[in-house]
Amino acid sequence: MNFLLRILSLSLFGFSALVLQAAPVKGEQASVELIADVAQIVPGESFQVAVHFELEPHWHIYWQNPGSSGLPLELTWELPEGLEAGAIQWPTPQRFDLDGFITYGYEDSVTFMVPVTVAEGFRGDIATLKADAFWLICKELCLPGDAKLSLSLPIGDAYLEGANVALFQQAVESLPAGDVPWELSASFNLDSKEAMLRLTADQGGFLPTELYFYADQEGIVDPNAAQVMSSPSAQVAELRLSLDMLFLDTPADRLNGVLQSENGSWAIQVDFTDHVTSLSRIQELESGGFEQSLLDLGLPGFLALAFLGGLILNVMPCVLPVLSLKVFSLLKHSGQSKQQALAHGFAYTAGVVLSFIALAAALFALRAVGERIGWGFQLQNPNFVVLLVVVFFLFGLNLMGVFEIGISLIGADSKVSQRNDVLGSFGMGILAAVVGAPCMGPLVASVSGIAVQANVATGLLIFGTMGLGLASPFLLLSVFPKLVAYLPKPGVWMESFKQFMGFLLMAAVVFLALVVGRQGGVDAVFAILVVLLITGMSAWIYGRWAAPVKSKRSKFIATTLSAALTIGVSVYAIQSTKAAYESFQGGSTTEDGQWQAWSSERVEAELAAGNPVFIDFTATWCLICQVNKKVALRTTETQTLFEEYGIVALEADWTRYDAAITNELERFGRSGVPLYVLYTPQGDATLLPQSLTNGIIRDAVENTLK
Amino acid sequence: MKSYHYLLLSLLALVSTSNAAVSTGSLAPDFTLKDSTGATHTLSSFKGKYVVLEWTNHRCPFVVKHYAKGDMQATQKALTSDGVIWLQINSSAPGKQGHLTAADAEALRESLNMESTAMLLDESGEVGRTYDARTTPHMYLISPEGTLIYQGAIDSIKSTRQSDVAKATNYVKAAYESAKAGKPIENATTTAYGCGVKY
Repeated sequence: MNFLLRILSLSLFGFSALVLQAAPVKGEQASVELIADVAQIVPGESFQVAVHFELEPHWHIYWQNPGSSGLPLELTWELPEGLEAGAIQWPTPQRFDLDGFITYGYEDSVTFMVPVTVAEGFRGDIATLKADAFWLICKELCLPGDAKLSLSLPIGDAYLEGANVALFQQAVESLPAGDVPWELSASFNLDSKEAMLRLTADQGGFLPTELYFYADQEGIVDPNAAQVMSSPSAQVAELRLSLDMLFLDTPADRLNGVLQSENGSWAIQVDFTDHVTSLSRIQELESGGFEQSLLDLGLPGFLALAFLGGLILNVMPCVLPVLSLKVFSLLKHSGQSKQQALAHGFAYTAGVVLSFIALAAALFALRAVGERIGWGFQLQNPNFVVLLVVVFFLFGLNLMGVFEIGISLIGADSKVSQRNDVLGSFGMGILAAVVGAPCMGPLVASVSGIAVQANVATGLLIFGTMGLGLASPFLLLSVFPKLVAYLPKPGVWMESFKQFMGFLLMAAVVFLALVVGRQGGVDAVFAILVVLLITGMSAWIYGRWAAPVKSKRSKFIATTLSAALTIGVSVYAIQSTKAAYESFQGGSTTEDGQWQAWSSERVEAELAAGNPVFIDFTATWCLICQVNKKVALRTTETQTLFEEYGIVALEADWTRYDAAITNELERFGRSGVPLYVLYTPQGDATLLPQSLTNGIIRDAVENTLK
Repeated sequence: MKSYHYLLLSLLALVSTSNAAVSTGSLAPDFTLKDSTGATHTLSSFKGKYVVLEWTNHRCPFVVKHYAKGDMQATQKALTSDGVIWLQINSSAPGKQGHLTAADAEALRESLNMESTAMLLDESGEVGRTYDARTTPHMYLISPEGTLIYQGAIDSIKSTRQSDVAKATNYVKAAYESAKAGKPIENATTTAYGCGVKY
């Protein structure tokens, strides 16, 4: 029998049509059988039949949407009068990855159930159900298969359990469940070619893990693209789906399909909310002809903008905390040989540029695993800020002369000290980039938005160029030593100046403490103060007992002790700020006067009520934001203006990690703060420049709302 | 606080995944490939003519469906005799199903009476991945200006049954006829069906 079957199925297509009575049809790669969950048909009572497949190892057949290739199972029924077959109930599929091309289907064994309704007046002794099954089966290669299946059942008057009840139970369990335990919403953005499926859990409810969405038809979601899940809050999970090419031509109204997770799978249907795409017009006040014409040039234009933007950053309040570093590295040039100046210039530039590239690479990598972050993310992380506090504080103490590094008594080892000095310039470049870079100055806002959305190589290139722009004045000085001649000559005053610079670094520490305080409250600030105390002590120990005049033993003990203290207190501070960050409930948004906390729901509600809305996207660590607040946003003049026009003022504070704000920034093509948006009640948005004055706000309001 | 653990892992992932699909209406990426006779063809050298790209694998049942009774050959003949450049592209990697040496490819063209301009060999899969060719067949139509004006399935009925060919709408032919008549193409992007390309 088996031998005969093998010969029969040795045709090119692996299968040939066979007619067998209620027995599995066996082929090379699969055996197929038509089964029922009852032993006899009862008139008026519907029952289930199923096509059951047993597949050879590693061969698979397809779901209703096969994914990037393949074909779903097709059944054509031939039933006696009075019987009617319904649609195939598709079990939850799994994914098959062939060199990055993903298909959806089943392997090993699978049961496709089909409901059959029986007419009240159905009579007879035996009913024969026939189905032509057609499928595609693939491993590396694909073969079509077909079989003529049939099943004869007696007709009786009482329910009688069929022999395959266990298979049907399994089949029922493999179906996606109907009632999703979360509130679902979906939106899409044709520009970013992404759809987002959002799950909101009830208070205390759980969120699923390992989410994957199978669209039940082709042309909606790109099956080959990774689906990235993120969780902006404990109650919300978001799944980002890449849209299929076909969707971009003809967008669908809703997402239909199966949502799969480690916790189970559900059949879902979610209508797209339209507000994401209906953001009708975004008008940018600032992007004058110059910026736009550079943007139109493509990559060379982006790079030019990035360079100029980086250059301008040097005179923005952004870089205030690192101003002392910049001045100091400038003065280092004075009285140096050409080679030394060149070495310092290049080391500083390398520090800045490499830091920009490293920050951008980390940004891309974290975004790839679902973190909704943007430019400046490093200062959203309190652990990182604690480390910066330690570094700045030690640097400051060093400048003040509490301790010295790398000075040997003999002084002959000038090569080593010179090398240390160059290393110092490199370090200063890193600090300048990490602390000074997170705000969006003029010109860089749109281009860094583009960089974050672009492919990784372009993104890194753009951010690297921005770093080059930031470092370029210092590089210029070292390349043209004639310029250095205008700098004051070195002398004793340098020592006093150096100590004064130490105080400026302490001011940067105060600034960082404020950032940590906004993230973790008074507990976090306390941890920072402890860090300052202990780090100060270890610097003192090192300076006093590890000085070159001391004995080897004294130096050893002092070095070990101060290192241990510094590391120990840093670890303590990182842990306690982390705890403080997690438990801090206060939020950093201050509800002062007319300003209230931003949320996208609030914006929608206010617009629906016919109110214009002004949004201040800000962060404590963004100094441009703080300056704008002082000189323009929180002035009585602006307050009166907003009252006059009935503008609702909302503040979106990005000091801490906040996925919703990151998403909102990206809707405007931005990846960082500040961003100022004025909405008309019709929903048209106007973007204001990065540097505000009362006049700019008044003009924008009067022009758009008159 | 979000954990930043996957940093290295994801950096690696970033390097390895680059999905460069070409959207309909944008410029078709240029490429140069050798054909079954050893001659070199460059897409941009066909500016001024319509170009069809057909991803193919003679062992795939979906391809067999269109060649067994001469349907694909007839479409090729109809278009090439109208001045269209028809390039078949084989992206099967060495050792994978459907891979052909130049000599075998030439023999195949003879035996099946293929009417294409040339069969190009893309062993590395580079061109296939650039166009995000997913299935065999997967069809692309490029305008004389070099714009991609159609991509997707060969026709409207997704099956391996040869009898379906006559009942189906041939999307490539329809797209070419609309474009030539200066009319908008009704289905400019469809979902290709077939076997996966054996990269």
